[in-house]
Amino acid sequence: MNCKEVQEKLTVYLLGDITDADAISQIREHLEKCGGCRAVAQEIQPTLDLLHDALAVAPNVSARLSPERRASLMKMRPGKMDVVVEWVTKKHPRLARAAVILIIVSFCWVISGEVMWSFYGEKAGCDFGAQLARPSWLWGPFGFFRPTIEMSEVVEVDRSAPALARAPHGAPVSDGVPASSEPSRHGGFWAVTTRSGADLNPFDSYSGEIRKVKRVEEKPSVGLAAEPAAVPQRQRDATEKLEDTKEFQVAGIRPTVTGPTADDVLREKDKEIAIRDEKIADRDAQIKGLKMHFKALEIETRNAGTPPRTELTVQPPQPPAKPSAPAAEVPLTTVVAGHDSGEKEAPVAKIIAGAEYYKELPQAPAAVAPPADAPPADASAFRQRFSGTAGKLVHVQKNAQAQQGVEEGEAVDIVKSPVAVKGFSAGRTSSFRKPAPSADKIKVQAAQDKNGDGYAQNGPVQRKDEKAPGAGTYSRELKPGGGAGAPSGAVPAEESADGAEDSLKTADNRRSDGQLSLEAGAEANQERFENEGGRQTTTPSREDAYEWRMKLKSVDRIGKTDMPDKSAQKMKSQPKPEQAGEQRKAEEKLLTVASSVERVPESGRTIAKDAEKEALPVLKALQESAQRLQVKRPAEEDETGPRFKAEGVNPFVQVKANAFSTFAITVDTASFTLTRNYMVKGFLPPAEAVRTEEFVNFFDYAYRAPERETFKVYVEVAPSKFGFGLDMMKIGVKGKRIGREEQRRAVLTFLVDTSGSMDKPDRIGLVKKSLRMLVEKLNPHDLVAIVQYSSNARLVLDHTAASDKNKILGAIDALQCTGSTNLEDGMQKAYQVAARSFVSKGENRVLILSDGVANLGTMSAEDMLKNVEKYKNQGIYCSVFGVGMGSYDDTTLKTLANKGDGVYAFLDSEDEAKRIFVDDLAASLNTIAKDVKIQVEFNPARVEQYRQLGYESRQLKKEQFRDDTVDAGEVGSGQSVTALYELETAKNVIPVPRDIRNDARGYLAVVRVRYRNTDTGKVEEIERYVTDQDVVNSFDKASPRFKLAVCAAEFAEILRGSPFATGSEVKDVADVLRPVSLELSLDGRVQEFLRMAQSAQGMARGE
Amino acid sequence: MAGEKTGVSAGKTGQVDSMEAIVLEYETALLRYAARIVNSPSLAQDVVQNVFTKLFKAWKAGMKPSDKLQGWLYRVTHNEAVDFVRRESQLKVLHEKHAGGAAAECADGVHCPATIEDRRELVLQNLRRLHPAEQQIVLLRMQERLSYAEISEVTGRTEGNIGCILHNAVRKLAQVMKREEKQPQMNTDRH
Repeated sequence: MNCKEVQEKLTVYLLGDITDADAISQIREHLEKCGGCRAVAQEIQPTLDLLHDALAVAPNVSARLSPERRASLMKMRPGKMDVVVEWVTKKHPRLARAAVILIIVSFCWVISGEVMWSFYGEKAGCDFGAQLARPSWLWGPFGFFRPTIEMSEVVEVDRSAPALARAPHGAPVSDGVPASSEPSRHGGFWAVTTRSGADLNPFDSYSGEIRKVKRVEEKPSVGLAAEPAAVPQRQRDATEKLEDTKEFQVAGIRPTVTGPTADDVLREKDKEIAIRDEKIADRDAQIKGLKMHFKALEIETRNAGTPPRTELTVQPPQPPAKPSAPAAEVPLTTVVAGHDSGEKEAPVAKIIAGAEYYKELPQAPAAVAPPADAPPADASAFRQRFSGTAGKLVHVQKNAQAQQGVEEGEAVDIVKSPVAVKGFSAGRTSSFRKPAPSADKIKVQAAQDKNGDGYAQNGPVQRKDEKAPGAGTYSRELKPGGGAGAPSGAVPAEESADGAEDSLKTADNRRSDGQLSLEAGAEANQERFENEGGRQTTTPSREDAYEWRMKLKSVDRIGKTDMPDKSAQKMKSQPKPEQAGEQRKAEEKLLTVASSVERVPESGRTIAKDAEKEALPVLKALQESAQRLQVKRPAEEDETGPRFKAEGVNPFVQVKANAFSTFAITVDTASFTLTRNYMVKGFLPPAEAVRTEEFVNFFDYAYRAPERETFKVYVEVAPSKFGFGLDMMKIGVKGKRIGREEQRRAVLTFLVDTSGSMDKPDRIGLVKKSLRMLVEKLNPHDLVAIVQYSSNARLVLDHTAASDKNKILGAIDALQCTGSTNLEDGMQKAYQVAARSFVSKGENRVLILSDGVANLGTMSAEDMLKNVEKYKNQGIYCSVFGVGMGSYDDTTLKTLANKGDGVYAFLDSEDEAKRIFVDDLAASLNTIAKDVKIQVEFNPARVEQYRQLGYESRQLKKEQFRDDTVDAGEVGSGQSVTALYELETAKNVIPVPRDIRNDARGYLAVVRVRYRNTDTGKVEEIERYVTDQDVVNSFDKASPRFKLAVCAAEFAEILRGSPFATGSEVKDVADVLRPVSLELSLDGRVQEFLRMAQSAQGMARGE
Repeated sequence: MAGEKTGVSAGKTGQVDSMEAIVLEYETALLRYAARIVNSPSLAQDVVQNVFTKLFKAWKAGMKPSDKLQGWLYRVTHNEAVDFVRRESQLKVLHEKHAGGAAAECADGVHCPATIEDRRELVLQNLRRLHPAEQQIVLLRMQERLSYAEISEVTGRTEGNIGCILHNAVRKLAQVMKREEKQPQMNTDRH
């Protein structure tokens, strides 16, 4: 397969769509060989993955069509009738044809009828209205006859045309024929059409005369016609009956009243009509009347028959208002015909067939023709009549701690002097693997060597049994042998007291008396190393970093930041004879060491010349080093100097060598608070006092507390701002919150240090304030006991319910400081008291408030710790709160808290006390999980190497993760722990189809948390995969809390002189932090951190 | 449109049910498909409604879906969606070009897509700027997970041709994405 063929199939291959095994292996082989194609595949793969993930997320559209759209679509589906029609047309074509023919025929039938009607109808003078009213379609061509069918209405015919009476009526008046008539009260006649189609012989009726009749009837109806609908059914029935008789009595018989209803209706009509009538001109009436009269007379004469025997009820009309008409003269009671009969006396017209009758009508039109100026009322009446008929038609949605790597591993015993350290460190360039910054870092160091110190010694100087350890761990330990093992034993506590306060002044004095103090420091240092066997170990790979770190300290400490300078000051202010001797000795030793530098060659190289040339700078550097190292040892003159233990810095670990990073968590924050306290006093803290994890954990990262689970893991990965080319992974573990009702009853035993060293406002004063705050915050049923210890321990207050506040507060106020510090006695007493009031299922805890040093007592620190551990196992825990500076023994206190499963915090201010005792009370007192361990397993396919920031003292071996006997950290209610890892992700991996890749490299790491649930006592383990979902590809876009964590870690790294923070300055941290502090403007701690970073920046510049 | 073309053929059972069944069966997929192309939920609804309208206009009583229906629906949906995009393109294209310009300013580090979500959105945006035929194949394969044979049926192209177009489309996308997110610091996504 050549490149072209492969590339064409590349995407398909990467999608895993090639099923042919041969083709797959061919492409894979080609990709391994051909760099070009591999490049293309590497270019495509991320996009393909991205696209794949992007398309896997459903688009922003509802899964279903909106109801309206669906409805409109469904309307398109065929209805039931359509189904029938389809069925017929498809299955029974004949039927369909027959139906069509039938339809056509009927259509023709109707049309023909219409045509015929219109033809003849026109001829007959019938108007279109009349035609519409008639259901002609039924009759088809025979539609003429129909008019007679519905004709049965009562109409009043002009009063002056008696004979005509039988004409009108009904709407279109049509062909209605008056069946009977009777004079209305106006002098006209009531006429009822009684014709039924059945009675007629269509053919007979087909005559020109009928047409004439229509015409005649139309006219008189105007103005006179009654509403057809108003005609009572009864009336019609009556009419029909009448039809049955086929006899119409026309005259001579006074109609019989058959029903009141009919009468009423008619009466009403009469009234209306009467009113209208009055508007009609007399003359018209007269003329019409006369004409009709004459016509009627003619008909009468011709058909003189019997008058209709009708029972039609007609109320006798009122006498006409205008008596001028001739009818007026006729007696109102007379029937239509009787009008005449008034004279002729009941001329009976017996009409047997319509034909005959119609025949008579032709003559009437002329007589009833409306006057030309007929009133509007007449027209409306006409319309009303038609609307009657027309109306019917119209109807719509994270090293092995290198085994202490060092292990003293040959721990390069640099013991002899700082010079060794210096030469040693300067001689090597590092093989350590910090990825990108090494070049830059070396340059920076070189520059500092020349410029900063004038110390430009290159090449190895002196080195003892150095061996290059395989594990890249850098560890350094500067520590007095034992807690009280320092050269001079106990020193009165009172002496130690003033150290801290004088520190600032000391710093200034130092400058002028620098030499003396430097020497003293060097000597002291020598002694310490020799006597105590203090070790300083390092590994080659960390040299440059180490040097940088030393430098950083020398730079920082000499002038202004040297915190423990009080020792120097003391020496100066009250020089003792032996001390002076020691000073001289120290000076000599230093010189010896310095000259030894020239004598010791190494690696075939010598630096004698260089050293001679630059003897002065070297000496200066030595002095600086001595001074610097002095910093780390407890001042012998003052037993109470702060003691810290350096833990080293975690190195980068190759994932392929060890993919697991296991550590015990800690929620302590003392390191940050301590640093803050140093800085407030104008110094940077000793490097050993800085613990990265405590800096990071000091801040709140706003993780949401899980509701049900004990812990929830939050992970965020983004490029590291300070490590070029590296990513930073922030792992947050948040514990659930326990509600107040779930809080256990607290049985607190306060062990308050009341030694003389405590007698300062920022110590005992702060302790008292803190206790008051705590007491206020306790639940009423919680128990509080106070044990104070100085030279001896004394129970001040036995367990008292928190509700008895006055008693407790009184005891607190009564605390007085004096004497030495006998922690051992105090602890024994406190534990006795606590054990006496032990409440099962309660929170039994001894809280130690001390400035941290024990100078009385026979018990060794180890025994004391064993004691604490013993009680812990019984359920009495120990929390430690440090106060004041100077005699502060950070290490001891921290160990105590660790062993006692408690919190270790440093109180430097009321605010901090408030934060700890008030805000975090529940968390401090209610432990939700114990022995909490975290293990991060990195995916070798995606992560090249990693480094954990902080937690050096908490490292565990991989196997210890699941060893539940290993003691680890505790987490209180709602507390969170944050760990940071610097990662270098893997590059240049040969792309493989997605499906194969998913399990192999789908995730970056797996974070596992194992703990013992306090409630159930069971060990639980949770895990969370870190995937691309947690990755943010730009530091700027990362969350502000992530940036805050990175800044806190970097600040700690710089302060403790981590080699990995080489090149970074606090100024950089401040720069990055500034915008973050704006974003988290409400978080006071962040604001404070920013101020610290900025002031630290100022301190650095001062030098 | 004849039954064969629409992918429906005569059948005995109630077409009313089958019509509703077709809508229920395909509307989600078609809406998803259309939404990717037109990038608007309501427009996607319009597109799909039109597709079904076309189908039902050609619907004869007694018809039932055949196996070609899916191909037909995807084809018509694609054409309708592309038509919609063209019709509404004037303003929208300008708008998107403008958006594209903003993405191109990523070098300043401010407009860069940071989160995985942003990058996904970016890749989808770029996908919409590809040629319709490329979009069609990428969507059918990667979103709708149709087999190459089915895609072939919808597009009328040979399977080999489809592989080529797919590769070219993905490569173009990769290049555009590379250009738009110049993030030297980012390593985690390089594989």
